[in-house]
Order: sequence, then C-alpha cells, then structure tokens
Amino acid sequence: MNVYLPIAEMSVNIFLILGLGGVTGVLSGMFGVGGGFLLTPLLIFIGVPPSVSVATVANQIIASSVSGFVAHWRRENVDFKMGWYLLGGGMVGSSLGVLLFRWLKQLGTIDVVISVVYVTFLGVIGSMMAAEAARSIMKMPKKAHVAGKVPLAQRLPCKVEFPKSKLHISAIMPIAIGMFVGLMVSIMGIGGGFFLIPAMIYLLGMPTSVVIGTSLFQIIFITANVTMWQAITTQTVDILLAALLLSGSVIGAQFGTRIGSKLPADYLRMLLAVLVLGVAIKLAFGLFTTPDDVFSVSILDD
Amino acid sequence: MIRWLAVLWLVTFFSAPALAAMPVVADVSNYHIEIDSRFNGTRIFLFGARNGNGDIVVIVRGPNQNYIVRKKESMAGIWLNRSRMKFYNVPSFYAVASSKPLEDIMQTGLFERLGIGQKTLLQPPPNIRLKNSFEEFESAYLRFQKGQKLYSSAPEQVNFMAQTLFKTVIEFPDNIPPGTYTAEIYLVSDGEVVGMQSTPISVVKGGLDAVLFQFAHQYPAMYGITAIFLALFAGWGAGRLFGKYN
Repeated sequence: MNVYLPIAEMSVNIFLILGLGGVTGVLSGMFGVGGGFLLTPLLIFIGVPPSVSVATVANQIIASSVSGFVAHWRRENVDFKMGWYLLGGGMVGSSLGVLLFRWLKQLGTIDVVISVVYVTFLGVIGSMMAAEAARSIMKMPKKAHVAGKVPLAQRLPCKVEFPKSKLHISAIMPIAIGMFVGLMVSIMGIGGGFFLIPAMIYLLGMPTSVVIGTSLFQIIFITANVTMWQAITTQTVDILLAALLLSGSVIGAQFGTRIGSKLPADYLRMLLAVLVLGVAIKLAFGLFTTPDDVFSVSILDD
Repeated sequence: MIRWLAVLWLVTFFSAPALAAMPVVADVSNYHIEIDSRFNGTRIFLFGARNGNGDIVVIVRGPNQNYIVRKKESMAGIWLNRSRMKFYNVPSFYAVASSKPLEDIMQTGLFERLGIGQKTLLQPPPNIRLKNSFEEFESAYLRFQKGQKLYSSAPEQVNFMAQTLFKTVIEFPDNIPPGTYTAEIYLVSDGEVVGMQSTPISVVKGGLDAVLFQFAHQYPAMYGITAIFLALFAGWGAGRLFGKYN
C-alpha cells in the first residue's frame, strides 16, 4: 500500500516507512538512543530527498525523546540545571547549523559534508564503544574514571554549582558542548545523543545515572528548534512522513525495551558499537569508491 | 472498456463534417490529474484523428524548472562535486510518443525549431570553457530524468486504427511535479508540420496533501509549531501509555 508524501513529493510504501520507524524504535528501546543516525541514511537510501530526511527525522526524534524523557523524569534522573546550560549552547549551535546547512546546500557539498561528518564521528564513537564493551566483556580492569574529576572543566573560569550531578565546574564546558552538538544535529538530522552522552560522561564528569535523562531533556528542545528552523527556512519537514515514522517507532520501542532488558548490558553496547561502525563503514565506502554516476542533478530553487 | 468507449466517442465526434477541414484533432482521457495521498502515478490515453496522410508526434511537457548538474571528481581520495552547469527553463516532464522514430519523420533542423526531442531541451552555456563539457552534462541530465521516469520517449508507440484514428498512452509516474502540462500533437507529412493541436493538462495536489503542502508553504511558522506539538503529544502519549509496563 502506497502513500504520497506531500513535502517529499513522492509515493512510498506505508509498511516500508512503518518498518523503518519500527527498526529505529527497537534500537531506541534497546540502547536508549534516538536512532536518527540510522534513520536519516535509510530514508535517503529509499529516495527521500536528503533535506527532507534531515528535517523530518529531527521532527520524529522529538517524539521518541519525549517518551524516553517522561520515564526518566519519573525516576528523577534529570539534571535540569545542567540541561538548561547545554540547551543554551545547543540553541545557538543548532540555529547556526541550519544556516550552515543551507549554505553548504547552495555550494553543492552538503552530501559530502554529511557523509564525512557521519563517518568521522560514528567511526570514532563506535570504536570507543566497541573497545570499552570488549574490555568489560573480557573482564579487564576499567580505565579509572571518577565522576566529578575532569581537569579541563574545572580549570576554566565561570564556575557554577550543579547539585544534581554533584559537580562544581565551569559553565563554559556545557555551553560549548551543547553548541557543538546542536551544530551536528542540524547538519546530520540526528538527535545528538551519540555525542552528548559520551561528552557528558567524559568531558563534564556527570554521573551515569542522570546522563540519559538530561540528554533527552535537551534533545527535545534542540530537535524542536531544528524542526522550526527547517519549517521556516526550507519547508522540508514532512508531517505525514514524520507521523508514519513515529507510529512505527512507538511500537518498535516496546519490543526494543523488552529485548534490551533480557540482554546483558555489555553485549548490548557491543551490538550497538558494531551497528554504528557498520553504518560508518558503509558511508566511508560511498566517499572513497568511484560512484556509479559522477553526475548528480538537482532542482535549482532561485 | 475505456478503449471501446473512446473509439465510439471518436467515431461520433469526428464524423461531424465541420471538423473535416482540420488536419489533426485529438483529445485526452483526462485533463486533470489530482495528486492525493493515494497517488501512485497514473496514465492518460490520448486519442485523435488525422485528415490525410502523415506521421503523428505527441509531446507532453511539464512546467519549467531550473536545474543544476554537478560532477564529482576524486580529490585526495574523496569524491567531491567539482564542476557544475546550470540549465534554466527546462520542462520538468517530457514525454515523446510518435508513430515512427523521430529521425524517420523529419530532419533535425525542424526538431530544433519546434523543440521536439530531448536533445533540443537544454541550451549550452554562453561560457566557452563550459561549452566543451556541455554534452556530458546534457547526457547526464537526460539520464537522470529518464531514471526518474520523468522523461520518456516512445517511438512507434502511436498506433493507428483504421486509416485516420490514432491512440497512445502517456505514463505519469508518482513523482511528477504539480503544474500545468501541455500535450502537443503534430501531424508531419513529407518532413513538414501540416497540423498541430495542443491541450493543457493540469496536475494539482488534492485532498490532505494539498492542505499540508499549502500549510507548509504559506504558514511555515504555524506548520513548524504544529509539527513540534504533534511530535510532543505523540511522544508524551506513548510514554504515558507504555510507561507503566516498562
């Protein structure tokens, strides 16, 4: 059964889209990530224009982040104060990112930039996760990591108290991290949990218990900001596509949570690392191998 | 069924003596294509009659658009867009059907004057340096449009029934841009156009899709807020609904 998407201006199979939403839902349920890193490339792969994919995935991540956030809020695992600081930077970063996206689109290099950014970050984060999961599966001693003891965050000026995270660190760090993640969100069409979670643990020294809830809290606002900007400047948010993806991911998330609770955490992380590296390798191939067609055609707006 | 009705209609329609003087008369099965959420491409039947001998060329053009064609080159191992060419006012849809291959019907000079055939659609850029690479960009563009099923050429797909009646089918894929299309029907005899008729076909978004598209373009801020609230509500609802079980 096909449905015509009003903004993407193409007809897609309903079950394919629900399935894609479902797969990302399973991932977010299993691993606690938004799954945008997989969803955006998949949508592009089935022929949805890249700009529509990026903007629409941002819209759908709002929903998956809210449903996760509700659960974490109930358990009081959210550091709102830290969230606001991250958000301040994130708003600036994501707004700049949308402008950067538009500029790169005009230059015609947006596809390559998206791919390079994806390959770099997915590659680095995937390898880090794989290494750590492997160490812990093989029962090797963990690298010493003590919450609250991060040199850079403590050396910088403008120190602020974060009672929930039991931290006394420079406000510049969360703002800068938020900005960087915001920039990535609008260029890559992902929630940014991928960058944010490791950054919160390793650069800010936040306790692991509040990391996911706090990152979801700020992702809601960042993706909402990106959705708004894209709706105004590029008109590329496809509500119908977002609604279909959403319906699939809500159902998928339930299965994901159940699978996730049955697998040991280390294996789960290893699995996620393999998936992330897989996407990175697939995209790297696209960058370095000779394309099937060196020419590409697009509609000129002006 | 449609075919028989059309034949019946044609026979009664063209038997009117006043039309006998016109060299070519044609009509389409549908003047109006509505793109709604069930739209999955469509086809239009084109029927007509010729008065006298000659070949029939049917051209359907979509609304004009501007295109940019980019070429990737390897830079330090990475494939990057390095050169580009812009083409202005090019039909976004272009279907040609004819009773014989175009080359057998008339000479290229006439094609160019009438804009018949894919090779007449793009203008080489004025820049001398770019002119040399025009052909490869042109063929890349045509290849792209053909891949999108927006450009098609069907020589020998206009069929004659009896001596005067002819018919053909024009396929519209699901990705056709909305706008005003024109179907042009040429009767060509001895390398000269002896008759021509054109018929507009309008392609519009309808139903929910039209509403959403207009909403997105006319009230972008409201649209953005709606999209955000929809997602917030759906996420919150899902969290509440399933939250108890996790």
